[in-house]
Amino acid sequence: MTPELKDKIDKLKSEGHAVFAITISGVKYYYRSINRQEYRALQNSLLKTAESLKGTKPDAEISIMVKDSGEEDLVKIGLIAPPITDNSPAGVLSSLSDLIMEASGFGSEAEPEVL
Amino acid sequence: MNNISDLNQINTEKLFHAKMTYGQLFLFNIGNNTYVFRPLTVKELESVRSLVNVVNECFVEDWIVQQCYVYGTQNIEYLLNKEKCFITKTLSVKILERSNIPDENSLVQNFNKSRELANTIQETFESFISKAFPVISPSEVKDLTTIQQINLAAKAEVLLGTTLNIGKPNVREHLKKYRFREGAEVLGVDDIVSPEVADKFE
Repeated sequence: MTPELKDKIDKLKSEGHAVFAITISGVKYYYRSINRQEYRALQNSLLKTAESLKGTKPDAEISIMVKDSGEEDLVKIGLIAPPITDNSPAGVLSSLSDLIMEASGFGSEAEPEVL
Repeated sequence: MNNISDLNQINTEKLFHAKMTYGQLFLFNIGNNTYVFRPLTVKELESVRSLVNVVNECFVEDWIVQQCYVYGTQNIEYLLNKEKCFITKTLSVKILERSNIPDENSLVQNFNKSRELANTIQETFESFISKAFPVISPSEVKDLTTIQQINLAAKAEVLLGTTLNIGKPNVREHLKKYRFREGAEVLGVDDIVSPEVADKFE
Protein backbone atom coordinates (compact mmCIF):
# COMPACT_ATOMS: atom_id res chain seq x y z
CA MET A 1 0.00 0.00 0.00
CA THR A 2 1.41 3.37 -1.01
CA PRO A 3 1.64 6.17 1.60
CA GLU A 4 -0.87 8.20 -0.49
CA LEU A 5 -3.37 5.37 -0.41
CA LYS A 6 -2.83 4.89 3.32
CA ASP A 7 -3.48 8.60 3.93
CA LYS A 8 -6.61 8.45 1.80
CA ILE A 9 -7.91 5.43 3.71
CA ASP A 10 -7.14 7.05 7.08
CA LYS A 11 -9.02 10.18 6.00
CA LEU A 12 -12.03 8.13 4.88
CA LYS A 13 -12.04 6.23 8.17
CA SER A 14 -11.90 9.48 10.13
CA GLU A 15 -14.98 10.61 8.18
CA GLY A 16 -16.83 7.54 9.45
CA HIS A 17 -16.57 5.25 6.44
CA ALA A 18 -15.83 1.57 6.85
CA VAL A 19 -12.93 0.54 4.58
CA PHE A 20 -12.34 -2.98 3.23
CA ALA A 21 -9.99 -4.80 0.87
CA ILE A 22 -10.62 -7.79 -1.37
CA THR A 23 -8.62 -9.63 -3.97
CA ILE A 24 -10.51 -10.39 -7.19
CA SER A 25 -8.73 -12.15 -10.05
CA GLY A 26 -5.37 -11.46 -8.44
CA VAL A 27 -5.94 -7.72 -7.99
CA LYS A 28 -6.38 -6.19 -4.54
CA TYR A 29 -9.26 -3.69 -4.46
CA TYR A 30 -9.90 -1.21 -1.65
CA TYR A 31 -13.47 -0.07 -1.19
CA ARG A 32 -15.59 1.71 1.38
CA SER A 33 -19.16 1.99 2.64
CA ILE A 34 -21.58 4.52 1.12
CA ASN A 35 -23.36 6.87 3.50
CA ARG A 36 -26.96 7.98 3.33
CA GLN A 37 -26.19 11.38 1.80
CA GLU A 38 -24.24 9.78 -1.06
CA TYR A 39 -26.96 7.18 -1.57
CA ARG A 40 -29.66 9.86 -1.73
CA ALA A 41 -27.70 11.77 -4.37
CA LEU A 42 -27.19 8.53 -6.31
CA GLN A 43 -30.91 7.70 -6.17
CA ASN A 44 -31.82 11.19 -7.40
CA SER A 45 -29.41 10.95 -10.28
CA LEU A 46 -30.79 7.51 -11.27
CA LEU A 47 -34.32 8.82 -11.03
CA LYS A 48 -33.46 11.67 -13.38
CA THR A 49 -31.85 9.23 -15.81
CA ALA A 50 -34.95 7.03 -15.74
CA GLU A 51 -37.24 10.01 -16.30
CA SER A 52 -35.17 11.30 -19.21
CA LEU A 53 -35.35 7.87 -20.87
CA LYS A 54 -39.09 7.46 -20.34
CA GLY A 55 -40.92 6.96 -23.62
CA THR A 56 -37.73 6.50 -25.65
CA LYS A 57 -37.35 2.79 -24.86
CA PRO A 58 -39.48 -0.03 -23.40
CA ASP A 59 -39.77 0.16 -19.58
CA ALA A 60 -37.96 -3.17 -19.09
CA GLU A 61 -34.98 -1.91 -21.07
CA ILE A 62 -34.90 1.35 -19.11
CA SER A 63 -34.99 -0.61 -15.88
CA ILE A 64 -31.94 -2.69 -16.91
CA MET A 65 -30.07 0.43 -18.07
CA VAL A 66 -30.77 2.21 -14.78
CA LYS A 67 -29.68 -0.84 -12.78
CA ASP A 68 -26.39 -1.06 -14.70
CA SER A 69 -25.84 2.64 -14.36
CA GLY A 70 -26.59 2.36 -10.63
CA GLU A 71 -23.98 -0.38 -10.18
CA GLU A 72 -21.41 1.68 -12.04
CA ASP A 73 -22.12 4.84 -10.05
CA LEU A 74 -22.04 2.94 -6.78
CA VAL A 75 -18.58 1.55 -7.60
CA LYS A 76 -17.44 5.03 -8.69
CA ILE A 77 -18.27 6.32 -5.20
CA GLY A 78 -17.23 3.30 -3.16
CA LEU A 79 -14.09 2.09 -4.91
CA ILE A 80 -10.95 3.66 -3.45
CA ALA A 81 -8.26 1.95 -5.55
CA PRO A 82 -7.28 0.77 -8.10
CA PRO A 83 -9.71 2.20 -10.66
CA ILE A 84 -11.71 -0.06 -13.00
CA THR A 85 -10.25 0.00 -16.51
CA ASP A 86 -11.33 -1.42 -19.84
CA ASN A 87 -9.01 -4.34 -19.17
CA SER A 88 -10.57 -5.23 -15.79
CA PRO A 89 -12.30 -8.64 -15.78
CA ALA A 90 -15.98 -8.43 -16.73
CA GLY A 91 -17.40 -9.50 -13.37
CA VAL A 92 -15.33 -7.18 -11.20
CA LEU A 93 -17.71 -4.23 -11.38
CA SER A 94 -20.71 -6.32 -10.40
CA SER A 95 -18.82 -8.08 -7.58
CA LEU A 96 -17.53 -4.80 -6.19
CA SER A 97 -21.00 -3.27 -6.36
CA ASP A 98 -22.37 -6.15 -4.24
CA LEU A 99 -19.49 -5.83 -1.77
CA ILE A 100 -19.98 -2.06 -1.42
CA MET A 101 -23.69 -2.59 -0.78
CA GLU A 102 -22.90 -5.19 1.87
CA ALA A 103 -20.36 -2.84 3.45
CA SER A 104 -23.09 -0.18 3.53
CA GLY A 105 -25.43 -2.32 5.61
CA PHE A 106 -27.41 -4.01 2.85
CA GLY A 107 -29.09 -7.18 4.06
CA SER A 108 -28.71 -6.19 7.69
CA GLU A 109 -31.33 -8.09 9.68
CA ALA A 110 -31.32 -5.93 12.78
CA GLU A 111 -34.34 -6.97 14.83
CA PRO A 112 -35.54 -4.44 17.38
CA GLU A 113 -36.17 -5.13 21.04
CA VAL A 114 -39.64 -3.90 22.01
CA LEU A 115 -39.59 -1.59 25.02
CA MET B 1 -32.53 -6.84 27.75
CA ASN B 2 -29.93 -4.29 26.81
CA ASN B 3 -29.26 -1.26 28.96
CA ILE B 4 -28.97 2.09 27.33
CA SER B 5 -25.82 3.11 29.13
CA ASP B 6 -25.20 6.70 28.12
CA LEU B 7 -28.67 8.14 28.67
CA ASN B 8 -28.54 11.66 30.09
CA GLN B 9 -31.39 13.43 31.87
CA ILE B 10 -32.82 14.97 28.69
CA ASN B 11 -32.81 11.71 26.77
CA THR B 12 -34.31 9.81 29.70
CA GLU B 13 -37.17 12.29 29.80
CA LYS B 14 -37.61 12.01 26.03
CA LEU B 15 -37.68 8.23 26.33
CA PHE B 16 -40.30 8.24 29.10
CA HIS B 17 -42.41 10.81 27.28
CA ALA B 18 -42.33 8.78 24.07
CA LYS B 19 -43.23 5.59 25.96
CA MET B 20 -46.20 7.32 27.62
CA THR B 21 -47.34 8.84 24.35
CA TYR B 22 -46.92 5.89 22.00
CA GLY B 23 -47.05 2.88 24.34
CA GLN B 24 -44.42 0.92 22.46
CA LEU B 25 -40.82 1.70 21.52
CA PHE B 26 -38.29 -0.20 19.40
CA LEU B 27 -34.65 -0.47 20.42
CA PHE B 28 -32.11 -1.29 17.70
CA ASN B 29 -28.48 -2.20 18.35
CA ILE B 30 -26.55 -1.63 15.14
CA GLY B 31 -22.80 -1.97 15.30
CA ASN B 32 -21.66 0.30 18.10
CA ASN B 33 -24.80 2.42 17.94
CA THR B 34 -28.13 2.16 19.72
CA TYR B 35 -31.29 3.75 18.36
CA VAL B 36 -34.79 3.97 19.82
CA PHE B 37 -37.82 4.60 17.62
CA ARG B 38 -41.53 4.89 18.19
CA PRO B 39 -44.07 3.20 15.91
CA LEU B 40 -45.84 5.16 13.18
CA THR B 41 -49.32 6.30 14.13
CA VAL B 42 -52.26 5.06 12.07
CA LYS B 43 -52.52 8.47 10.39
CA GLU B 44 -48.81 8.43 9.48
CA LEU B 45 -49.10 4.85 8.25
CA GLU B 46 -52.00 5.78 5.96
CA SER B 47 -49.99 8.71 4.57
CA VAL B 48 -47.01 6.46 3.85
CA ARG B 49 -49.26 3.91 2.14
CA SER B 50 -50.84 6.52 -0.08
CA LEU B 51 -47.59 8.28 -1.00
CA VAL B 52 -45.17 5.38 -1.26
CA ASN B 53 -45.76 4.93 -5.01
CA VAL B 54 -45.46 8.58 -5.95
CA VAL B 55 -42.59 9.74 -3.72
CA ASN B 56 -38.96 8.64 -4.10
CA GLU B 57 -38.47 5.54 -1.91
CA CYS B 58 -35.39 7.08 -0.37
CA PHE B 59 -37.36 10.10 0.87
CA VAL B 60 -40.09 7.90 2.34
CA GLU B 61 -37.48 5.91 4.26
CA ASP B 62 -35.84 9.09 5.54
CA TRP B 63 -39.23 10.51 6.51
CA ILE B 64 -40.16 7.41 8.54
CA VAL B 65 -36.84 7.40 10.38
CA GLN B 66 -37.02 11.14 11.04
CA GLN B 67 -40.60 11.02 12.34
CA CYS B 68 -40.06 8.05 14.61
CA TYR B 69 -36.59 8.83 15.99
CA VAL B 70 -36.71 9.11 19.78
CA TYR B 71 -33.14 8.57 20.88
CA GLY B 72 -29.82 7.45 19.49
CA THR B 73 -26.16 7.27 20.41
CA GLN B 74 -25.85 9.18 17.13
CA ASN B 75 -28.17 12.08 16.36
CA ILE B 76 -30.79 12.12 13.61
CA GLU B 77 -28.56 14.22 11.30
CA TYR B 78 -25.92 11.50 11.45
CA LEU B 79 -28.52 8.83 10.76
CA LEU B 80 -29.87 10.70 7.73
CA ASN B 81 -26.50 11.68 6.27
CA LYS B 82 -23.51 9.82 7.62
CA GLU B 83 -24.82 6.40 8.67
CA LYS B 84 -24.26 3.51 6.21
CA CYS B 85 -27.01 4.02 3.66
CA PHE B 86 -28.78 0.66 3.94
CA ILE B 87 -28.97 0.86 7.74
CA THR B 88 -31.44 3.73 7.43
CA LYS B 89 -33.36 1.65 4.91
CA THR B 90 -33.47 -1.38 7.24
CA LEU B 91 -34.60 0.79 10.14
CA SER B 92 -37.45 2.31 8.14
CA VAL B 93 -38.59 -1.12 6.92
CA LYS B 94 -38.56 -2.58 10.44
CA ILE B 95 -40.43 0.41 11.90
CA LEU B 96 -43.01 0.12 9.13
CA GLU B 97 -43.41 -3.64 9.67
CA ARG B 98 -43.93 -3.24 13.39
CA SER B 99 -46.32 -0.31 13.06
CA ASN B 100 -48.55 -2.41 10.87
CA ILE B 101 -50.89 -5.29 11.66
CA PRO B 102 -49.71 -7.70 8.97
CA ASP B 103 -52.59 -10.18 8.73
CA GLU B 104 -55.95 -11.13 10.17
CA ASN B 105 -54.50 -13.66 12.62
CA SER B 106 -52.21 -11.08 14.16
CA LEU B 107 -55.08 -8.62 14.31
CA VAL B 108 -57.25 -11.14 16.18
CA GLN B 109 -54.33 -11.97 18.49
CA ASN B 110 -53.73 -8.30 19.27
CA PHE B 111 -57.42 -7.69 19.77
CA ASN B 112 -57.70 -10.62 22.17
CA LYS B 113 -54.77 -9.24 24.16
CA SER B 114 -56.58 -5.90 24.35
CA ARG B 115 -59.73 -7.71 25.47
CA GLU B 116 -57.80 -9.31 28.34
CA LEU B 117 -56.39 -5.93 29.29
CA ALA B 118 -59.82 -4.34 29.08
CA ASN B 119 -60.93 -6.54 31.99
CA THR B 120 -58.35 -5.16 34.39
CA ILE B 121 -59.45 -2.73 37.08
CA GLN B 122 -57.39 0.02 35.47
CA GLU B 123 -59.16 -0.37 32.13
CA THR B 124 -62.54 -0.57 33.86
CA PHE B 125 -61.77 2.72 35.61
CA GLU B 126 -60.77 4.36 32.35
CA SER B 127 -63.93 3.27 30.52
CA PHE B 128 -66.20 4.06 33.47
CA ILE B 129 -64.81 7.57 34.02
CA SER B 130 -64.94 8.31 30.30
CA LYS B 131 -68.55 7.17 30.17
CA ALA B 132 -69.53 9.49 33.02
CA PHE B 133 -67.39 12.40 31.81
CA PRO B 134 -67.36 12.18 28.00
CA VAL B 135 -64.92 15.08 27.70
CA ILE B 136 -62.22 12.87 29.23
CA SER B 137 -60.99 10.18 26.86
CA PRO B 138 -59.72 6.85 28.28
CA SER B 139 -56.16 7.84 27.37
CA GLU B 140 -56.59 11.12 29.24
CA VAL B 141 -57.75 9.19 32.30
CA LYS B 142 -54.30 7.55 32.24
CA ASP B 143 -52.79 11.00 32.78
CA LEU B 144 -54.47 11.19 36.21
CA THR B 145 -52.96 9.80 39.39
CA THR B 146 -54.49 6.68 40.94
CA ILE B 147 -56.10 8.74 43.72
CA GLN B 148 -57.57 11.18 41.21
CA GLN B 149 -58.97 8.23 39.27
CA ILE B 150 -60.55 6.69 42.38
CA ASN B 151 -62.16 10.02 43.31
CA LEU B 152 -63.49 10.52 39.81
CA ALA B 153 -64.76 6.93 39.65
CA ALA B 154 -66.73 7.54 42.87
CA LYS B 155 -68.26 10.68 41.37
CA ALA B 156 -68.96 8.79 38.16
CA GLU B 157 -70.97 6.20 40.17
CA VAL B 158 -73.20 9.00 41.47
CA LEU B 159 -73.58 10.58 38.05
CA LEU B 160 -74.40 7.34 36.26
CA GLY B 161 -76.43 5.84 39.11
CA THR B 162 -74.44 2.61 38.66
CA THR B 163 -72.15 0.88 41.10
CA LEU B 164 -68.79 0.07 39.66
CA ASN B 165 -68.45 -3.70 39.46
CA ILE B 166 -64.86 -4.38 40.50
CA GLY B 167 -63.59 -7.91 41.02
CA LYS B 168 -65.60 -11.14 41.12
CA PRO B 169 -68.82 -11.43 43.17
CA ASN B 170 -68.07 -12.92 46.58
CA VAL B 171 -69.60 -16.41 46.41
CA ARG B 172 -67.46 -17.79 49.27
CA GLU B 173 -66.71 -21.10 47.59
CA HIS B 174 -65.02 -22.48 50.73
CA LEU B 175 -68.36 -22.71 52.51
CA LYS B 176 -69.66 -25.22 49.99
CA LYS B 177 -67.31 -27.83 51.46
CA TYR B 178 -69.25 -27.65 54.74
CA ARG B 179 -71.82 -30.40 55.43
CA PHE B 180 -74.56 -29.01 57.68
CA ARG B 181 -76.83 -31.31 59.60
CA GLU B 182 -80.39 -31.08 58.36
CA GLY B 183 -82.31 -28.50 60.36
CA ALA B 184 -79.14 -27.08 61.88
CA GLU B 185 -79.26 -23.43 62.78
CA VAL B 186 -76.12 -21.41 62.31
CA LEU B 187 -75.93 -18.45 64.62
CA GLY B 188 -73.66 -15.46 64.76
CA VAL B 189 -71.94 -15.86 61.39
CA ASP B 190 -72.84 -12.84 59.35
CA ASP B 191 -70.73 -14.09 56.57
CA ILE B 192 -72.84 -17.20 56.08
CA VAL B 193 -76.25 -15.69 56.58
CA SER B 194 -75.65 -12.77 54.25
CA PRO B 195 -78.22 -12.74 51.45
CA GLU B 196 -75.45 -13.01 48.91
CA VAL B 197 -74.40 -16.42 50.17
CA ALA B 198 -77.54 -17.78 51.75
CA ASP B 199 -79.52 -18.10 48.58
CA LYS B 200 -76.74 -20.00 46.88
CA PHE B 201 -75.97 -22.40 49.71
CA GLU B 202 -77.61 -25.82 49.83
